[in-house]
Amino acid sequence: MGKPPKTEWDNACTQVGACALTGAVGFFAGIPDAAVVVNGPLWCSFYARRHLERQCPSLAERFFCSQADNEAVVYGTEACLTETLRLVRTQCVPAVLLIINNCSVGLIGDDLAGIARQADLPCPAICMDGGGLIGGFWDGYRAAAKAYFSQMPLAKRTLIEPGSVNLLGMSVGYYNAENDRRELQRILALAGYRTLTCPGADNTVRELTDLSRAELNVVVHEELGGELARQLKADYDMPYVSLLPPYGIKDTLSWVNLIGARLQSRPCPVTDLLRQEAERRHREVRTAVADMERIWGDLWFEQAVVAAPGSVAMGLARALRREWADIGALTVVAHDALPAITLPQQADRILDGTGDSKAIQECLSNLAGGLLLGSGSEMAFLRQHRVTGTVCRNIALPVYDEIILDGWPFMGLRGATRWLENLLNGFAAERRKGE
Amino acid sequence: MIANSCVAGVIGDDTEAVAKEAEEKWRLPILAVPCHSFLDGDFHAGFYHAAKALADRFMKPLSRQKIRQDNQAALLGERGGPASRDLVEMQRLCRYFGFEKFCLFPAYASIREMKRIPESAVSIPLSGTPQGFPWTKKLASELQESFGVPWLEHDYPVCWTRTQNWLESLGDLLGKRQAARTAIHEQTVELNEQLEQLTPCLQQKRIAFCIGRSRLLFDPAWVFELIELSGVQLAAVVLLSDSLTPKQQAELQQDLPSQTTAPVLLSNEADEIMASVDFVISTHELTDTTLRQLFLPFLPLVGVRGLTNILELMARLARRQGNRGGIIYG
Repeated sequence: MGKPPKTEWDNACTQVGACALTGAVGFFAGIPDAAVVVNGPLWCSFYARRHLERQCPSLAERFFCSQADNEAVVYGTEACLTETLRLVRTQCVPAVLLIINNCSVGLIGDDLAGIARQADLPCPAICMDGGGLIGGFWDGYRAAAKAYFSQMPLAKRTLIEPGSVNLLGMSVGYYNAENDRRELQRILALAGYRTLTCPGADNTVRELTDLSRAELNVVVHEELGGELARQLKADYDMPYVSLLPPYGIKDTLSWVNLIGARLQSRPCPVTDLLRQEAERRHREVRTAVADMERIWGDLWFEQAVVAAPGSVAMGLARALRREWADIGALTVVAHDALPAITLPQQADRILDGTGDSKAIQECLSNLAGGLLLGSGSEMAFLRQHRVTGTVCRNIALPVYDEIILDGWPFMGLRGATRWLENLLNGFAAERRKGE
Repeated sequence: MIANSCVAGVIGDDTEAVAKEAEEKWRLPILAVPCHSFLDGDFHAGFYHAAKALADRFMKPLSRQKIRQDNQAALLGERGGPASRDLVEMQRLCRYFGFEKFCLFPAYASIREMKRIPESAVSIPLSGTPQGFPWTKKLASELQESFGVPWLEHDYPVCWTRTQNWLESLGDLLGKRQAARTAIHEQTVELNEQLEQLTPCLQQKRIAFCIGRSRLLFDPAWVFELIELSGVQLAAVVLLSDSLTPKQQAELQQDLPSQTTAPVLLSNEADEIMASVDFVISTHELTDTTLRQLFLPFLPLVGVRGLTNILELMARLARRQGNRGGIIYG
């Protein structure tokens, strides 16, 4: 064996992207009384489960796999799927069941709905194809949301609750999403608004039937929830607004204002409570931040890259430059391609994560001493290419080197405080290493 | 190397023809593996086919100018890369027989290194599961047939009995029985030192051994030996019903009594015992967070140092204070 094997092989590539099967499972994972059957091999189901399980620990109890094998692909999956549906019936009582083919089983054209009908299930079954042939995580989530609301009827939109909203496009498949959802609901409550539902991120099947009673749909992540908002507008005439998610104090207040502007029943949202909390948080951190900057220098990065699903990357980039740090050149990488919303002027360069890989690699290669807000994939690239002195923070899955247990969100007012803490601590740690 | 997904298998792409055409066009070696994800077997099947394609293309029988390297061994299989603790331990054991150079194959090897495989004095399979060993054996025997490299018909050294057997078998194959005896003696001394240091805190501890893997994926013999060496008392073997089919459970219920005198129970019969043991050794993560669990690695660790590693983890669990549960990953 030639030298030097260790350094040559220790940097195995860890680029990971989730396929549509994971996205579809992600939507149903966010419905606590939904169960999921992956009709395919164990590998596909394990990948989806592992991607989502840390964010959604209950998934394991309502997640099944038919373990289709070669024979099933030749003769059909009816036998193994029927056996799995029998297992579902004995192990849980779901309110809705997703049956999803992996990509190769999808090609053989089994009649999933027919097999489900024969299985005498205690709940509606939503059947669809998944996998890489459909696309990435976002495509799967959108397809699953569409399939769910096409098949599961909502209450008629006769009684509208004033000052109520739904948050669309949130998912346990996004990093720290559960904490963000709670923070957004808290902020909205401070503003006097009620969050009725967050489809695919919290509510049961029964709760979701009330979705149509909300006055307004608020799209938090356009790449996940934009299409659903348009579908609900077409089917139920529900108005919607699609905004970048609110990171930082200014953007949070602005987010609430923009929602208020669309809510005819209560148009003046920034209440004293909200304003007071914003001011208090600003006041409380001011001295500590100034002290840190006095010791370690001001929070300045010559280069910064923000890489995440489009809405997350755009929203964080905006708050980063407007509120938290000074940046020489700021590049935004949208993992899922560019979202169909107004792009913030704060980014100097916006790259498409699905197509600009060479440009992204160049950007990351030049990030020594800079700032990376990204996922484990970008961080693995920095390690592999020995790019040093970079302050790195996780904002998107996959994440390998961090857990968040204390409930802190990334979004909203609480998130703003956390980000300042996060960036200053990372900045000081890198400076100390360089001494 | 073109690896086919199951999609390519279902639609019936002739990937080998595509590879051949592309090779002619670009004048680069382009290979295709004749299997398609889960449609044609498991990980080990794909691993074998990839290795076979590489060997057929890049390895040549020894020419007259080249001589076999007595100090070079080929390690066939994958154990986490050349710096992994298993590979380091495997190489340490091989050094008793005068091996100084090691060729990994097929993973973690450059084309130049692959070409050196036929010069090896021996090839040694690394698999670690009843499911994987036949594929690694097949590869080793074909390398012998094509290039004359003798191979050790023994899966890798696990726990103590199999480590001794492995050392003896390698000594027999190479005609170096004295080296094997020296190795066994020194490893015995090392093992005894470790047992003396690690096992006092394990005496009198009661444990359960939870199995959720079928016979094809998991041979529990090394765990029973580990339990015996450690001095803990095995209260029961528990078959994890959620992870085993009824057929797999029946097979294990039939086999296990020949390996242990402890009762073999199904999960739903084991609540009382599970609540009373000091800790459990398990092939699966158990959801009961009050239990102290040692999660067994999917592939058993190599040699005396692998055994010591697991004993250290058992000792940590045994010495855990208070009633804190949780999992230690082996």
